[in-house]
Amino acid sequence: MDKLHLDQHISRQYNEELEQLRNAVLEMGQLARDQLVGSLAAVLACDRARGLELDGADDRIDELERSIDDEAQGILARRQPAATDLRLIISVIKTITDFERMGDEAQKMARMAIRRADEGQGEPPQAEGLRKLGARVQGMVDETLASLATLEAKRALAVCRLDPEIDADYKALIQAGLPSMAEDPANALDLVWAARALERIGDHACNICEYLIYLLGGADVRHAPLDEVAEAARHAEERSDR
Amino acid sequence: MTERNEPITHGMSSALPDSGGERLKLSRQKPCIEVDKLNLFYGSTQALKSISLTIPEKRVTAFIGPSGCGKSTLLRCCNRMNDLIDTCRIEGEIRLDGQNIYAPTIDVAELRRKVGMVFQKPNPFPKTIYENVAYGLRIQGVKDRRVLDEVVEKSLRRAALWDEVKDRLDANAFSLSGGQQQRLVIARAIAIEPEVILLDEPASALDPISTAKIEELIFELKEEFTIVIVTHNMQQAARVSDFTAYLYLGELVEYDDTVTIFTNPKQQATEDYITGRYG
Repeated sequence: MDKLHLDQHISRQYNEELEQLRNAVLEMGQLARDQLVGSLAAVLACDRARGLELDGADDRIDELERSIDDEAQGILARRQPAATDLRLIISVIKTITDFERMGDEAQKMARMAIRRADEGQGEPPQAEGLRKLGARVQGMVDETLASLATLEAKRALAVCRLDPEIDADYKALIQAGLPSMAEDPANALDLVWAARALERIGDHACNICEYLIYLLGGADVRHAPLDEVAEAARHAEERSDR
Repeated sequence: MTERNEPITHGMSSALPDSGGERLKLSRQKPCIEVDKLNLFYGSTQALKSISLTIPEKRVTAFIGPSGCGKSTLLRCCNRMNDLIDTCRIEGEIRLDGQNIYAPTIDVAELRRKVGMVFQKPNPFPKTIYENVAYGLRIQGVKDRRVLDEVVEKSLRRAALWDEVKDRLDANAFSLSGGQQQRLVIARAIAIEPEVILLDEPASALDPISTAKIEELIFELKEEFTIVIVTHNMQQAARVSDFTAYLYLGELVEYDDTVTIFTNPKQQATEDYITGRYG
């Protein structure tokens, strides 16, 4: 199943280093995903305790970011990776930056939950819309993690295709919240910030999927139109089948 | 050294001149050597199998591959060093500037003047530093001391050795370190103004500092010469070459610009070799 053939180096030590690096990235992604799910629930429920717990959980994500970077730097220095191995290291270094930022966005929501609970606020406005947007973004992040685990470019492409829809949902939600801006600006602003955090998390998921397509096929698809991303993903799929 | 106030990009049009956007393309290079359906046999053993590739002018082309893949054999074909092996038989053509170097009319001595060669182990002659560099000109009949002095100095400068030896040109070449001897041999090769320099593992017997000096020298020399290098050291190929050919069991597996070969090769066999996989 290992499409990257990470277990086929003559140096077994190298195999292990790359495998550990990959596992650490998956662990970090899972933490960021849990952070997203928990923080959204905490905001919707104004759950102070949960908000506090999740606010602290971001430290573990930051710690993983540092240790993965450190490990990647060590591999670059000692192994001078090439081809797939080199693209793996580059995509890992970039992926964890996006996971870390996902964690930061989720942390903003966790802190919002704490503040809103302290202020005695209830459910934020447009809660249903926020919940739906959150569920879609969570779906994106889940699929991102699955793509990373299974190394499927097709699946990563599907995540990239969702991004414009998420952007549209986000805009619609903000539009819906605008009328309340005059009478209840504090609540309306919280809606904007929470929706913004979710939309940004979707962007990070999309970035990570682009790095994965690069890893698998070698084409840099950042800032490329979707049909180009699709072509690169198709090429990547062909290569992984060889 | 960069002056403090000098802009960091000193004169470059972009901070990353060779990055992503425009990679060297083989098809856009001016050909120097064209290897055309080359088969080579040592007795009944076929060492090269229908190799076709074009070595571009004034670029560095590296041949990589595991031991016995044929990379040194292919290199030696380029100045007919294999003629010296009795059992060696060649089919196909190698053209230098469009002319088949295996044609019966070719003067092999003249060919080797145009296509110089440097080996793994430095092989200076048991003569002075000066005479080593002047050797090629002397056998061409040049006697004028002024001309010889000029060429010796120019060649040693181009080989980045002048400053280290200018005060002891009459010393025996064997008094130099291994790295200096290798640069002396390169100076000797370039003194007769070849078109092509073939380097067969030129740094594999040298320490890292001497290796770095040879690599730097290769970078400078490609301004004037076409360079072909065989190396076991893949990182070296990655550092010094513009184009890389991967050979395996006598066949050319992949040939492309070096960045592509080392970041995104097309063949799984190339990938396995450069990443240290079993394959």
